[in-house]
Amino acid sequence: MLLKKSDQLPSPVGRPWLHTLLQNVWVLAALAAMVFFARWLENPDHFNAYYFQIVMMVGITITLAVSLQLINGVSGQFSLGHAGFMALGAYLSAYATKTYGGQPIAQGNGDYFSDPGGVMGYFLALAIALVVAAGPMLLIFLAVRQLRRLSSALPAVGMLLLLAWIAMDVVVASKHQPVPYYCVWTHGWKGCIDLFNALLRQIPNLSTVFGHLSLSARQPLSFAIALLGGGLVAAGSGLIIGIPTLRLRGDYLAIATLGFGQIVQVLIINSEPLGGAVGLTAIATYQSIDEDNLPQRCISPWIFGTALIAFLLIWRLVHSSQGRAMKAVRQDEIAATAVGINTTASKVLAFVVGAFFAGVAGGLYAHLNGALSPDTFSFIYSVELVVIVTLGGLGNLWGALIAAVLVTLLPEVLNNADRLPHMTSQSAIRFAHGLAANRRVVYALVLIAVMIIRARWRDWVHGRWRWTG
Amino acid sequence: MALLEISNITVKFGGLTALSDFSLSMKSGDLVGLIGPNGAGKTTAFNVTTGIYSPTAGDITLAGHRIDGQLPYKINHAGLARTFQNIRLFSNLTVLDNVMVGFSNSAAHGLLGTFLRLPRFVNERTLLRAQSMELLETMGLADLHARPAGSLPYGGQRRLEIARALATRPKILLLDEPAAGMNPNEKIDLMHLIGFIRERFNVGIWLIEHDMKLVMSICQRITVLDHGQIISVGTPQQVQSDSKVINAYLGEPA
Repeated sequence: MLLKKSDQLPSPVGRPWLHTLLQNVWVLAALAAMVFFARWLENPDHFNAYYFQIVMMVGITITLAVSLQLINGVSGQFSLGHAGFMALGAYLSAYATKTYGGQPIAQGNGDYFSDPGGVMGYFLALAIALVVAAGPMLLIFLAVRQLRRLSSALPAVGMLLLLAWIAMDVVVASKHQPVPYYCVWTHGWKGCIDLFNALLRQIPNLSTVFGHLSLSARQPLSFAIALLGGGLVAAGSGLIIGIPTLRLRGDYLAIATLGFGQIVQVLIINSEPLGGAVGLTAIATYQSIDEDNLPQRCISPWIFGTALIAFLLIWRLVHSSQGRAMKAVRQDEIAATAVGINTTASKVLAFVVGAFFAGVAGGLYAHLNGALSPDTFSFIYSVELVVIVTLGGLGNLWGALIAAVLVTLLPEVLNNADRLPHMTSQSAIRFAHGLAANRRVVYALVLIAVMIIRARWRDWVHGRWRWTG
Repeated sequence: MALLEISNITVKFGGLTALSDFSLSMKSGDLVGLIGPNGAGKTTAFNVTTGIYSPTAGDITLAGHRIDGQLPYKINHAGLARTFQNIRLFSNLTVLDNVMVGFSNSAAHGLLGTFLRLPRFVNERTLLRAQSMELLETMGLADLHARPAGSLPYGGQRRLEIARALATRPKILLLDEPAAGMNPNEKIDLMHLIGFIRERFNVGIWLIEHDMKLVMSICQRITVLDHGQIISVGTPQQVQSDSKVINAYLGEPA
């Protein structure tokens, strides 16, 4: 037989580990170079705070754009919930470092990173509580799904009844004190929250694990744990949201993901520990302590390192068999499933990886700004990211990167038009300011233009352009 | 023992019975035809076998395992691959990528292998490319491997769709009207190709086709469907002389 399983064949490449080494060693070198370069970049003499902020936002936007490109462009699932994933990462990592990151030990606010164990404990407690809560929910969900054996409409009816029961339960519980024994759901959630709090009390034990490390080692470690934790929470929520919603197509999926973004925003606005509508303030901006025991800005290698790693890993994913499967699903779902691709798994993978990097980018954003407001992560921000991805060309990672840089820089350049060299015309400056203020209108117009031109640029080149048909 | 055993399958869409009481049995390496007038339920039979529809009643087993009502990709993993009546290639992907998608099922490197380009990934990638090129060579498409699949001529697209299905290492290949839209010369080529595939890859072939000359000359057995019902089963000679078949195609004698 001609076609053999690849595991039955001998290794086709001499020294495959050498390929692995060569493909990864430059990444480490690049990350090291970034740390080195950060000294120059973050010296306030070279960049003032405003320029620094813009350059850092470019890095964060690249991460967001590339991760959204994986979802919207490569796997072709139109998501409008990217700001929601970012918000989850931002708020949870910021809350973790702020509350459990340790006590200030030097002047300034760069000291909330002295206790990696606290941050790690927070995310561990969160993960355990979520698993305990999600287990019974998953069982109920699977049981409801079995109803489809009886009739295809029954699962939907079952879910509706279940949701109605939960809603009634919560309403009744909120009106009675003490909560009646028959409010099963409310008691269940209270139990999970109690478990979470009980687990949090174990954090001091975890802190001692890292106690022997020096401060300069504990700081990056706790920041890394906070970022990873935020990313993993976002990825987990991507998994939970993705499994049911990715069965939807086109507009329906867009609406479902939009709904997710709104839910996250509403949850944050109504959450007292996360600052509510006012926002979460006094978050430590990431700084390390230098030789003179002074706080030193050093977030740039984190931001651009994340951008590099996000781009690289997503690039590798796209150019692998998993990525090929995603592209196949985008092109023709029925054909893809007929050649043996688990289409749901493929879409969920894109969603989860994209959500993870959005969460990490959110964590970076929180620790760059030092304050979070729920308004930042609105639906409009998701749309802005979709605009970036579309301008870059769906499925094109380099395009997303370039568009991320341009769309982040352009409003700032226009806002500062009066400071550009040779810019003397008052009306031109006013026009630039107007453009920056109304940039969302401009995005919409540019998007429409891109759609029209991209579809017919060949006609344009050959002089056969017509506005209709 | 039969490799593919379809017994008493019924498919209903609301009040419409698209297929009723359909049965078929195939051994390894069989070449079986399925014919019938337009709307007889031939493609429905394929769709229910490959899991795109769930049967209303009846069961399907492949090598002793029940596959009816399974998800299409699981049925493909079990050993059924198909082509489509209206070609469904991944037309923006290259010819090579199309075939590699079919092969990818067997890729064993996990996500970590992809992210870190672990030795396993490097090996698999090289193997995958080599195997895919070999398959394209066999199917006479190797020169076109870098072209987008959508840019191939019609006959090439048909061949590529068969190649993509073969890449999933099927035990049985389902071809839905492979000769549709081909000229007589291309049809003769296709006839040779089907025979060649059967020998070379040792697959059973189940074929829907409207071109009687092609069906009658290559199939060992033929099932005839009309209005969702089997009206005749047998060798090409038996089917050709069956009065029910003639009536179905030409109408009742006056």
